[in-house]
Amino acid sequence: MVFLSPLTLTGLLLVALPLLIHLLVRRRARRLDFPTLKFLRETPSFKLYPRRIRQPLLLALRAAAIILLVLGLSRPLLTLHGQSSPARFILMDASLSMKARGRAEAAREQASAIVNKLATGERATIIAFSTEAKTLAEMTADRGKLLEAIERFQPTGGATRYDAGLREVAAQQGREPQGESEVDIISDFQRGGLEKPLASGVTASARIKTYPVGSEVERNAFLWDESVGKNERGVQLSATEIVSETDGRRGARQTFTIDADEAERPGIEWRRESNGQTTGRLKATEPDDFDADDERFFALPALRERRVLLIEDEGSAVLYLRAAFEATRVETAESARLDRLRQVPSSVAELAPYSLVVVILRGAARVDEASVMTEYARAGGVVWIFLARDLDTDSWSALAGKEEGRELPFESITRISGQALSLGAADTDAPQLRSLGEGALSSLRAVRINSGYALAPRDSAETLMRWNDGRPAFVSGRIGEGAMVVLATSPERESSEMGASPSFPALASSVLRAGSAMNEPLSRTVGEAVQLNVAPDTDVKVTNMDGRVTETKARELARHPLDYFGEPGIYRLEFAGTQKYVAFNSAATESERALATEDTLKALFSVEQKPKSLMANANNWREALERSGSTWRYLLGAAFLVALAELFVAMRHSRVTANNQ
Amino acid sequence: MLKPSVLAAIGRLDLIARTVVEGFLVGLHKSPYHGLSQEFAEHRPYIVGDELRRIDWRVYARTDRLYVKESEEETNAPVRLLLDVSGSLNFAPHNVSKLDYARYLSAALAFLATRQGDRVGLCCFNEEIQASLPARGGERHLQTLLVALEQARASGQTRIGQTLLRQAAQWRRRGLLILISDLYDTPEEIVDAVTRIRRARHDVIVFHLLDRAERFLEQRGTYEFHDLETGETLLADADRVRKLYIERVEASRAFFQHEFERTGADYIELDPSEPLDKALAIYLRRRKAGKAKGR
Repeated sequence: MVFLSPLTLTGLLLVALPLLIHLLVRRRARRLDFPTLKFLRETPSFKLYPRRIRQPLLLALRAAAIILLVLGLSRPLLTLHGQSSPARFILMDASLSMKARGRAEAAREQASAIVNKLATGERATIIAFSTEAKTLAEMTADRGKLLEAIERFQPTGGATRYDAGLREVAAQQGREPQGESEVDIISDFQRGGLEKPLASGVTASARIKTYPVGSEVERNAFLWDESVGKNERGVQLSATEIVSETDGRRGARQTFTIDADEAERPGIEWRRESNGQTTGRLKATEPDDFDADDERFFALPALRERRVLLIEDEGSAVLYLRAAFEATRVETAESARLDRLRQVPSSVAELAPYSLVVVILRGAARVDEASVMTEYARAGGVVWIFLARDLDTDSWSALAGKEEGRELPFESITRISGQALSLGAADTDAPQLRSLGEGALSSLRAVRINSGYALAPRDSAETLMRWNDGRPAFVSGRIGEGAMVVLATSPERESSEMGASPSFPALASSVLRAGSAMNEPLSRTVGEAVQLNVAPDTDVKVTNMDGRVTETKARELARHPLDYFGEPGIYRLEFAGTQKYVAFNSAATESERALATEDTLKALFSVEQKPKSLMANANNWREALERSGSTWRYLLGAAFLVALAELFVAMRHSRVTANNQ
Repeated sequence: MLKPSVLAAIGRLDLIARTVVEGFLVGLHKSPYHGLSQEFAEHRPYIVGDELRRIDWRVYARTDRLYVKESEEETNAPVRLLLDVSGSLNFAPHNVSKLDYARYLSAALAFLATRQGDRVGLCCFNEEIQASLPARGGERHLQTLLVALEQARASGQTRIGQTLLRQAAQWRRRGLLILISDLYDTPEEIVDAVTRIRRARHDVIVFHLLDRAERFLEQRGTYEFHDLETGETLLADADRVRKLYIERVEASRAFFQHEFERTGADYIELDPSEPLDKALAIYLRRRKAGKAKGR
């Protein structure tokens, strides 16, 4: 219901009048000469007290008459048959760039101005959007609530995603009755955020208006293209500092090497956390006009030495593997120490220093070996498994079907016999094969395989390569922070000619690189979902850089990351008895200094409106509804009838009272 | 029978009494009491004050001495009216107050009794005796009695039991006691007094004046109730207390009904808005019963 004269509603205060009259009249009790008070005094004292309200019917009628009269005079309009008052969707850009001086304040001011100019009865909703959208005030005609939500608006560290905001508008429009609607986007409209086309799904009846706020940043220095690597002394960081000005850009690459015993140095801060992780931040050194993007945060996993462990007790595989990894040293110019064990150790602690463990599986499955390898992978290591010719496929398939083997990347292993085998299709985008060139891949496919197995990968595992008959030959599965990759043959001579192939060192190098890269992720982007590889209802405690603690469930971090990691920074996650540090940075596009031109905005946001649904302005809308609405007439009529009823009851009561006296 | 509100318009108490009694007797068609009052008993010498019409002129012709005829009923036991004139009798929910009604009733009873040759006495009392006339017969005494009734004013509280006993102590002859009151005194004292009077072989009729308005608390709404006897006030919502009030009044009525029946007294409730014939009929029945017992 909408009121055309809402101020008249203050007349509802008059309802108190009949109540006061009834209460005052109650105090003027008439005197009655009575023969004796003897029997009255014998009744309980509380019974003697007069009722608080006498003639409640009369009071109700009087109050009803006043309410109906006031409502009628307020000119209410009922919206029927799906008609509704116009709806305004006010989208406020809450991305990092809105933290530039004055933009957030200007956005609040612009949103308040829109709300204050809403026509009577017109409803609006406030939606803040960056990487995802969040409704600050539900659709309402209550200006107080809307203004209060606008006051609460604060930019976060997310990226500008107009689609996220417009998708929320579309979802809300779906819940609204069909009617007029308008979308007001308040943003700095950075040029960088408008590079992707909009696919909003907003209905064609909506008008989209843009309200650019804030002036262009004169000079912005920010970090770009940072990378993190390991070296013998610790961690090597590099980043390019870009300085963007009206007359162009210039950049300078800086490289830092963090030693364990090194003190702070300008532009970088770091520290070793109690769980072995290294966290820190790089700072832009050039002065600029926008401070929110001057830092880039990082959180590295616990450092592992670049060591490879070969577990092999017989055969020629050791020779080939050693040769292959020796070759990677030449290729990458990094030291990779090679060690050998004859069998899988009983404790995972012995595997901890290695960044890659290579195992050739033979014979029957052993649960303890599988458990140690799985545990090592879960802690961030990479296990590369070859399958020897004498593998007991039944026992390994059985183990994969049990609880102890549920993290193995395959469900079963089947021996392939009676046919010539070679490797076929490869997923060259997979990290483990990304470093392989076309030549190496061709060479790998040309390798003759004497003994191979067909793997049935789990749903969560990826198939890296297939046999020439299409069956999976090389699979990879993530386990915790690490991974387990399985090649369904062996480099030893009895199984294949792979060990002697020139492509094998390239493959070993590629797998080693993928493992290193996976173990050394860069920071995440604000708004990116966080998967912890634990049960969805696992309790997680999130502590931000200010020490503010939020407790939630693992599934919430994946669903609403912006609610927990809204600002760039380093966050400590505590879950399932472990600690993990994660760094978040805003999208690089948020550092875009230049803003979109008016022409660009018109081209991007102009939405055709249906002519019949156009309303020139709020006054037209009011007049149209007033002409069609007659609710107020019914209310005034009802008020008149109730007043008559009140008169009748009052007269009857007076007559009864007179008779009694 | 005329309603009390109509009687009030007549004004003079003697006319009211006459109107009431004659109307009542006409209503009976044939008075069974007429003979009772005219039966010859004996002659006695004339004394100043006797009515001339009662002189037996035949005896005078024979003896040259004035003798008056003494009829049998003049030997009857006296009728004693005890009228409560406490403040509560001023209660007048309609045109006629309980005191007015009590006056009309007393006057009518006195008129009827005198007409039948009975001697009638009167005692108006509240806490004290306000007026007292000994039981006598004759028109002049009736007029004196009516004047006393007209002058009676209701005020103060009442001491019914004490007054009854005090009056009864002065009575040498057994007679008929007629108590007209609303009985707003200690019930046990009243019953005790009536019991004692009954033991002294007096007949007792108790006319309990109870208006509908005070019996059923018919007023609606909140009132400041003002006690006509004590002057105290009490704020109460009549609608809320009505049920319990009626229960208390009914309990009081039941008590009097039961106790007076036990003592052999006649207990008659009278609503001051009703005609007086009920009271007169009760009186005549009681007198007939008394004569049948030889008084």
